[in-house]
Amino acid sequence: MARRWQFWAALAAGRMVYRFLRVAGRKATTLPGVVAMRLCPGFLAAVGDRFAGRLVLITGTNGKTTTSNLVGTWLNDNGWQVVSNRLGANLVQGIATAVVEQLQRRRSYLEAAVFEVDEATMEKVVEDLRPGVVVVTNFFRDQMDRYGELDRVVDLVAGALARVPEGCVCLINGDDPVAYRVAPQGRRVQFYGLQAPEWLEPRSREVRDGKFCGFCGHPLSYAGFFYGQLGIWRCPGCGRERPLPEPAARHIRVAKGGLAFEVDGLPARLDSPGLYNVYNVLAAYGAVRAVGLSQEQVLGAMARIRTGLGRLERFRLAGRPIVLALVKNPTGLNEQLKVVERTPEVTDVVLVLNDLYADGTDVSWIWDADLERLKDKGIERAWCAGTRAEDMAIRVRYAEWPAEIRVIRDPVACVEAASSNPSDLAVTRGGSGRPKGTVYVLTTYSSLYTLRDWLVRRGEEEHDDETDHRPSVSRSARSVQ
Amino acid sequence: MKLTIGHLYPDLLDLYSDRGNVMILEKRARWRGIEVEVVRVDAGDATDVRGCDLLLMGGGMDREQSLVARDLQHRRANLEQAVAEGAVVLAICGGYQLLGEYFETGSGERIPGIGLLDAYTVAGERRMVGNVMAECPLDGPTETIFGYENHSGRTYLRAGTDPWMRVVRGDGNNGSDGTEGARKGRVFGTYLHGPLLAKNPRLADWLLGLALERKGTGGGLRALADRWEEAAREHLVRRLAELDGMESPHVGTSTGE
Ligand SMILES: [Zn+2]
Repeated sequence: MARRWQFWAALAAGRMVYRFLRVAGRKATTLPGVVAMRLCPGFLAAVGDRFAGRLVLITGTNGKTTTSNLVGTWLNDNGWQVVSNRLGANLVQGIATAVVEQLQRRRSYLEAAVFEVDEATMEKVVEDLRPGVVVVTNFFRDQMDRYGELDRVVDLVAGALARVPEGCVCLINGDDPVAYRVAPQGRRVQFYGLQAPEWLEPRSREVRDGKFCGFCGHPLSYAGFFYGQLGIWRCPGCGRERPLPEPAARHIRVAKGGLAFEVDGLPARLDSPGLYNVYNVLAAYGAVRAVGLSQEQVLGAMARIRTGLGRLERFRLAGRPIVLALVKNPTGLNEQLKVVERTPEVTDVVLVLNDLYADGTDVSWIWDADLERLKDKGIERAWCAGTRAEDMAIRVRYAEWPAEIRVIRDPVACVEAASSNPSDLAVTRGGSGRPKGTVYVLTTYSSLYTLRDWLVRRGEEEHDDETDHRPSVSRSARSVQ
Repeated sequence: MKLTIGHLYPDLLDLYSDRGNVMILEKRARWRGIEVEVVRVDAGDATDVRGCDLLLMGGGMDREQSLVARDLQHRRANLEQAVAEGAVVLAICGGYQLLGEYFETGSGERIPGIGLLDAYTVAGERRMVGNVMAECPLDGPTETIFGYENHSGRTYLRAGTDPWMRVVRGDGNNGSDGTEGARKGRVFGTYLHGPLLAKNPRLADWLLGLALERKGTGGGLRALADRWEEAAREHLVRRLAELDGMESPHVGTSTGE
């Protein structure tokens, strides 16, 4: 078949480009894919043929990377061969590059592809890739300078979902009324969500999106909120309401600095206290079950889930705990601020704000986040870094933290200064053996890898308990960076 | 003495962080010992805008903006009276468009505004997005204003309303005549987000002073330590030159989450 020959030739050429870039010490997350698609116009369609439905696409504003890492890891753990764009290169070229890099010539009986896909890219790949599972995590305002308004992004995804193959399982966050809107007619739709009345907040300070029904335009009413616009919603206009979740997370409680809960009767344990990660676990669980794993096959992994790159990684620098997290929009920043609030003895917060294309060139979103939440947290120093460090300093000034504000442009130099600064906490505790106050680093995308690499080199990653279950990202981060 | 700030449609017009302007004006007044009350004005409620010294309005998404357009019609007379009695109005982006005579959509439909400004807006093809630098007269010295624009509507001014600023970098009102925003007496409209007042503390204080005039205590606001604001302005001039020198974003850029 000419087509198959062409596909493998394109893949080989792409792989040469990949190796060349790697030898030259360059990042290789897009160009190899561009070359392969140029040489074989049906490249993605051939990928769709190869995986024949054992292909998962994950889209939405927040949680794509974490969810696809969980799906990839759980499949891997069970002996599946997995192709995935684990570094978050989620445009068409990034997906093609992941295939170039990872696809094995020899077919495996158990193999799957797991791609996180940029919202606007979904419609460009869905017909070629013909997924067997699609996950829609949520919709928040994000980098609007690129896509225009949220409504348009949601329409794009809805259009893509209307074109998934029959039999495709659509896993949609049903607690999010905006995501609910993209559910396609005549497909297998499963709405996942939280059955956790004790976590409902009567009011949300943070609802920015989806205040109106996506079908009839009537303002939505809520029995309570989990975060952002996610919650138990109902439309008094057309009667649509938040669907009963499947899969659902129940009995969510704080445990050992993380969260413990149940999914389908299985006990699950997360190493970080962000409620948003429970949604990612639900989505991943639904996806691997749809692909073919049994409950027993995820039982072990669910009991010790670790969040991956940039989703709260812990390090230690000169005995001092450092936490690194990615923030890229107001909702994400709000969730991280809640985590800071729940973490004892945080003395220094480093905020890295960049305005490169990958971060979004409009930095005004920091004014939509509720920085005021940390006013009484006792933070001693707010360190601002990045290409728009001063913009962040102004924001912190108006949030009226009783902290000293310092600006150091270079993110690494800033984190270094923040972590070497002896905190008052250590002095008052007297003993040098006691851990000093935690340094919390919140960064936008373009500084994440630099900071992480530096922390990996300079510090030690924190290993608390069983270390056999390392997240897949750290592995791939080393191989592709 | 109490300053009353009216936040118009905080739930409907909340795009691009313009609520920051309310926070900034509130705190800059409080830091000087002025008592401040912020009142919400929501669609359909009975709040009387005539009690406000400063009225702020942001921008919203299309659907939400047309809801506001309808509600605003009922408030027009009260708004006009408030302005006549010395209240200051600041409207950003979509709010600015609604203060004009009308907004003409791509299909030719005209959404009526309330005509507080002699201006009209026509939907455009090209989206005008990016950092803006503009020159703005503040009763005397010209002040450089820093903001961020993101709009496709093009606004044109008629006799009776002056441009508020002149763009040095960016598109401004319509991308062609070099004007940005509009001013008619105490009514101001602009496309600049950022939020507008974050990096322009002198503009913020100037607006505060104008609003306080009706209390008989205009100028003479005590200076605040705007250290980061000054640093941000200085840095942004260099940063924008740097960005202008950079090639435009290449297609291959991928962005994880
Ligand atoms: Zn409805």
